[in-house]
Amino acid sequence: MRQQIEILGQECQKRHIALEERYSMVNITRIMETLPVGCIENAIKHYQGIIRGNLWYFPTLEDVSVTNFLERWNAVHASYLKVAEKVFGHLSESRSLDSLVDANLLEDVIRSETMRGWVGKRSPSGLDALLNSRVEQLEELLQNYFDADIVDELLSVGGVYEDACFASAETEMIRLFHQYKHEFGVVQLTPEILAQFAGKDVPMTLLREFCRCSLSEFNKKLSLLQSSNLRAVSEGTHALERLASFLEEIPEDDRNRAATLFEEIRVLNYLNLNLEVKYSFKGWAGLMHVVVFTACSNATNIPINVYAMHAKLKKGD
Amino acid sequence: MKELTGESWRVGCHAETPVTGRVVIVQSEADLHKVCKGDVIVANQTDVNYTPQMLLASAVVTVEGGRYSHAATFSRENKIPCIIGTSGIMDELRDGDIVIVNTRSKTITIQKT
Repeated sequence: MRQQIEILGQECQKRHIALEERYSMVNITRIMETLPVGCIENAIKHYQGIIRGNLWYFPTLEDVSVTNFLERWNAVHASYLKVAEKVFGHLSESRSLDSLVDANLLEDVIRSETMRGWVGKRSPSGLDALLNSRVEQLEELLQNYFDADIVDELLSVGGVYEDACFASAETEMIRLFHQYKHEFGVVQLTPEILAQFAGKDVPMTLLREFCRCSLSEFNKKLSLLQSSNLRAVSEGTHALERLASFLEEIPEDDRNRAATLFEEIRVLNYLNLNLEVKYSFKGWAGLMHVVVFTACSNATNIPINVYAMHAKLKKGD
Repeated sequence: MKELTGESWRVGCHAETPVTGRVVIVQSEADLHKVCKGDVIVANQTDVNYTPQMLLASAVVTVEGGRYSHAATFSRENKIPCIIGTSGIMDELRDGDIVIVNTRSKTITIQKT
C-alpha cells in the first residue's frame, strides 16, 4: 500500500510536469499574475463556500477498500487536472476571467468538482469516511489493551510522518524552501530568473506543488520562511518508536491487525495532508476550477448556487 | 478575566506550560499578514498557506478540525500548542485580546481585551 501511494504521488507529479512541458512554467506563471487581486488568496475560502453551499450528486459505495479508493482517487484527479488545463487554455488565450463565463465550461467544472467531491471530505464514500472507519476499528481494538489517554496518543501517531517519503505538505514545503535557499540564496523569482531556472527541480516543485504556479506566492513564502526553522524534526521518529513498543504488548493476531490499520490510516492521512494539498482543490488544479465559479458568480450575480448560475447562463440572461 | 472552554474542544498538540499571546483572528489567507511573532492564531482551520505564520505563533486555535487536521498535525510535528474544535470561539475573541492558552485544562483565558 505504501508503494501504491508513492506511485500515485509520482503519477500526479508526472501529469503536472507534462502540462508544464506543453505550456512552460514561465507562461503558466505569467497567466497567474494576470488574475485579479485577491483571487489566489481568497480561492480556498471561496471554493469551500461553493463546496459547502451546494448539493453534489455522487453515488455511495459501501465497504470500499483502501487500495480501490486510491485507484479511484487517482482516476478522478487525472480528469480533474484535464478540466483545469481546459480552463487554463481559455485563460491563456484571453487573459481575462470574462472568457470563463460560459455555460458549457461551467457544466464541465461542476461535473469535475462533483467527481472530486466523491472522493473528498464530505462524500459518504470519500477520504474522511474511509479514514474514520479505520480509526474507529483501531480505537475499538486498542481500547481492549490500553487506557483512553494512551489510545488517544497512539491514534495521533497515524497523522505524523517524519520519514523521508511521508511528510505533511507543510513540513515538505519548509524543507524545500530551505533547500532552495541553500542552492540559490534568497533569490526572489521574476519571469527572467525563472527562465534561467528551467529544469531545476527545487524551484519548479515549489511553484507547482506549494505556490499554485504563482511567482507572487512563491516570493511571499520565501521571504516569510527564510528565517523560520522546523521546531521538532525528530518528533515523528520518537512517536513511531513508542507506538512499536506499545504494540509489542498485545497478542500477535491483534498486533497484526493493528499494524494493518495503522498503515491504512497513515496512507490515508498522507493522501489527505500531502497529496490533496498539492493536486486537489487547494492546489493549482483547484484554483483553475474556482476561477470559473468566481467568473460565473460575478456575471450572474449569484454568489454560491452553481446550478442557478448554470441555468441563468444557459438561458442567456 | 474570562475563561473559555467547551465539550467539543480537543488538544491538537500539548504544551508543558500555558502560553500567553495576542489574538489574531485569521478568517482567510488575506489576514495572515497581521500575524507577528508570539501571537495566538485563531482561525476556522489552517492549510499549507498558513505555515510561515504558524511557525511564528505561540499557539494555534481552530474552530474546525480533528485529530488529523492540518492544524493538529503540523502543530504536533513542530510542538506548537494547539486546541481544535473550538466551536463558538470566534464570537468570544477579538483581534488584540491577550489570552492564556492552556492545553492541559483545554481552556483559553481572556486576560485583557
